[in-house]
Amino acid sequence: MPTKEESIKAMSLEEAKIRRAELQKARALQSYYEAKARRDRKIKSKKYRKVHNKAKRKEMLKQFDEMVKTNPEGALEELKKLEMGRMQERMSLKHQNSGKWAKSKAIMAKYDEDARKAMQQQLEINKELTQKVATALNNDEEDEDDEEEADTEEVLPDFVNDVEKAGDASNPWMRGKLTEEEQEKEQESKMAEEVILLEDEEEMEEEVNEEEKLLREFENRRKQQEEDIVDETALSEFTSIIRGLTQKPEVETIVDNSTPLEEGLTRIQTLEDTEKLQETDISETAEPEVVEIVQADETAKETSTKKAKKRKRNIELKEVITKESRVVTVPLKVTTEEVGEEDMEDEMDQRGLIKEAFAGDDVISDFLKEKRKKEDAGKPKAIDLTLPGWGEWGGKGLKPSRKKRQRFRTKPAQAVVRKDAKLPEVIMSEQRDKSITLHQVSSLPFPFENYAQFESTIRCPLGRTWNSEKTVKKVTLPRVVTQLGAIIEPMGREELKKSQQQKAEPHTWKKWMENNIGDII
Amino acid sequence: FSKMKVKVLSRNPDDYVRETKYDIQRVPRNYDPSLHPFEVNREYARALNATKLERVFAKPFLASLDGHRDGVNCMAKHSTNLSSLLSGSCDGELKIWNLTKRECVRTLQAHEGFVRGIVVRFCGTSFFTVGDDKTIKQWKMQSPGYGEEEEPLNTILGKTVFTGLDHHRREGVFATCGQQVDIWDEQRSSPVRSFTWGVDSFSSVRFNPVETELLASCASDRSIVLYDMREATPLKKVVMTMRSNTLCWNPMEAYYFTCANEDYSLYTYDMRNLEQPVVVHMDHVSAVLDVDFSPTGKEFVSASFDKTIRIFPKDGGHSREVYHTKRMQHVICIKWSADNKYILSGSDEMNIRLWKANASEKLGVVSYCAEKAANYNQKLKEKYQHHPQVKRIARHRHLPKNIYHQAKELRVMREARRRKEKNVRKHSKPGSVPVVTEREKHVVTVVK
Repeated sequence: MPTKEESIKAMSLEEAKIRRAELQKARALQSYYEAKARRDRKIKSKKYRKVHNKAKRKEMLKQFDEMVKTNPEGALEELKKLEMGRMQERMSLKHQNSGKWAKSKAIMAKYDEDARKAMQQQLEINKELTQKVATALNNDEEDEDDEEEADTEEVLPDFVNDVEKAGDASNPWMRGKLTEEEQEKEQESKMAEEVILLEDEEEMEEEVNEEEKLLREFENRRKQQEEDIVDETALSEFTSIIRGLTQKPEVETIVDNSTPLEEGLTRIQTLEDTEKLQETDISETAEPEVVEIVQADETAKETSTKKAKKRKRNIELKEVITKESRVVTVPLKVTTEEVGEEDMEDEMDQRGLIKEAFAGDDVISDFLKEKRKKEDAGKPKAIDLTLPGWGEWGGKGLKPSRKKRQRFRTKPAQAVVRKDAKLPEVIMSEQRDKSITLHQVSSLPFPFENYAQFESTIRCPLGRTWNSEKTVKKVTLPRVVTQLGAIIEPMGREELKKSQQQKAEPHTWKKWMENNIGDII
Repeated sequence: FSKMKVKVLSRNPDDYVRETKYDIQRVPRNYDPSLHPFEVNREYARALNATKLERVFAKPFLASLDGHRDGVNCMAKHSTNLSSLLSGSCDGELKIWNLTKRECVRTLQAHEGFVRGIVVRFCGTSFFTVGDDKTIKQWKMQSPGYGEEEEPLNTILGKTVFTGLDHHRREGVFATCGQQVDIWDEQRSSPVRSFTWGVDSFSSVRFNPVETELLASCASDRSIVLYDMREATPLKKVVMTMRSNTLCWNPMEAYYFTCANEDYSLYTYDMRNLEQPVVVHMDHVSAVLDVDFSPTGKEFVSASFDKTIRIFPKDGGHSREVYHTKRMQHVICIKWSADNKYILSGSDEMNIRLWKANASEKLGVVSYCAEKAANYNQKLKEKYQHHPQVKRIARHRHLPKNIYHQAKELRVMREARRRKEKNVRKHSKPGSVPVVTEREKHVVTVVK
């Protein structure tokens, strides 16, 4: 430990700072790298992986070239790795299409182009891996290899590699060709190519006629189409079932005091951002409601316009016949008028002006008309479901019989008494105001047991405009009051005892009055 | 000489002072409610504005304390001085900070290896540290004088590594945990009492601040063990589905403690009934590493491996606040300052950050009018908290993208599990599949 301290002192302060900064940066970079790798790991698309691997291989080659110049030992090691890979491929023959997968694909290769492609890809990989890297270094290595192999040759006699007679069928292991070592390196690649060519030829030979080939292709396509159709129908059923399920969500609420935070990707930094938040939500929630209400309005409007037209005709007729206008006594409420210091003459002039302006309009009857219109619009209407023709003559200008009309006309329900029924000079709209419902609470919040409780908490105002200063102070007192700069100690025994004593005391009206008499008076 | 025009306020006292002392005071306001209509609407508008302004002024980050050369592993609050903080890092270094000047006051090489625990004695004159080099050291709080070297007051060599440390609130007794939980007397160099319960290792130990003879510790077999210092054997233990990293006792409620668990949530237990937790606090998206209570006992703060800090109400299942920064990597330790105003977080990238506990609070001395207005706004927000517009703005928080997506994923997973359970119950004989509440799910057994 003392040595460590010395070494620390020996390092200058700036060096230490630099080192620390480097360490911090390294940590941060590591975490970013981890996050990136995690994201990359999830990508499954084959195309992406292909492109990515190709790019990586190019980079590796570039790096290798650089290493050759700068760090020949490292380059040698890389080459050795490549050699190892090549050796492994030659020994294991992993990509030579001899495994289970390749065999199954071979069966399908006759009919399926994709299978053929896959097999070809595997063979290409094999070719790539068994390639020799022909560089200057490798030439040296090849010479070395030759020398080594020459040595081994001396150990083993030459006749080991002589070609056996093909006729000697007794030994099945000796039936294959024995390649000559001199031509080995040159012929290997040729062999690979030949193998591929041979396989292709085989595949071609199997399909005897072009006609048969075409026929087979047509069959395949038909089969595929059928499969697709089947898949599609299956999919559509599936999706419809799912949609049906999702339309009936059963919400299982766990009673919880605290609601989760609405965590999103947007930041609120100014007042405008908060307003934007409100607007976006309004637009999102209002759209479905608007659609429904618009539809309802449209249907209502249609029926009302029809009725209005009829009504209009009736009204107009009546008015033509009876020229007298109804005089309605509207009980006016006494409104307090400020006794201003206007001249009587001015007042008279004003009244005369108003009379003259509104001489033509019968304001009261217009108002009443409007009110009647609104009432009728709000009333549920009798729906006429009669269809002309069934059981009687129907056609242009023919009305269905009265009996029939009586039978098929639904009686309108009892209209709800409007709020302005007893107020002839007022029209109160019975429609819901959407802009207000956005701000209202839609369901009873958790701690309350009925609406009356909740409403009583909302009803009483808290501000200075409605309450005295003392009340405001008392009501707005925060739950926890702390002193600035004071340490808050945990609960002690004395505090517990005090609270127990308080609980033991009886809670009486007298006590309450004593405590709160100051506020009341 | 020139004439000077002076404008003066002239008020007639007859207008605002009562005539005799037997009269009531004059009030220049008319409290008639018909003159002040639309109370609910006007107050609602004020509440909405108050919530919006709260979000606008929510800037909780205050400062970053820079200086450690390796990740900060543990922190300790000074018991008598609000402006001191002690922190230990993963390279054995211990630093003492002055929070008002936001600088490091003293550095000492406490251990070789991690500093696993620091605790300040209740008197405030010395502090203890434990580390990976199997030693417990006691140091003086006062900096050494000129020319003196940093030497511990007392060193105790142990046989095994110690992983946690806590000191009694009144007596000269402290507890360590490692392979077993030991109670030490300050004067002795061997433990007074050792508690074992067949567990290999304990990760943290804490004294109850109210009932000061009780201890609790988190063990590696996913359990929490309770002890009484005066008894010879542990009291009881509760085994959960996943391991707890640390725990913290509520400083105002005698029997409640909260543990920070590996399954991304925190559990508040009542010591007297360990069958099921009182509350399950879920909101983090990665393992929760540390928890600390507010000195008022109403809230607690949790630090998690997903680089965020969350503040939870003591009885709420969801957090009321989340703090995060691009530069803050995994948060290892967290403390709530003793005056209830600040939160200190120590994280993996060698920084200690100072945050406000209440993000939109105005710190320092606040004028009387400002305080009144703040109280009024707070009360309004509370009154109208259930209204949808107010609720939406008050709850809105920004999250970094990866945590947002991770949280969404977890939600989908939990929803899927819930749905599956419901379906299983729906399609089997009624009563054969019992309803297991969220609380019961996480406790395996209670062992006495």
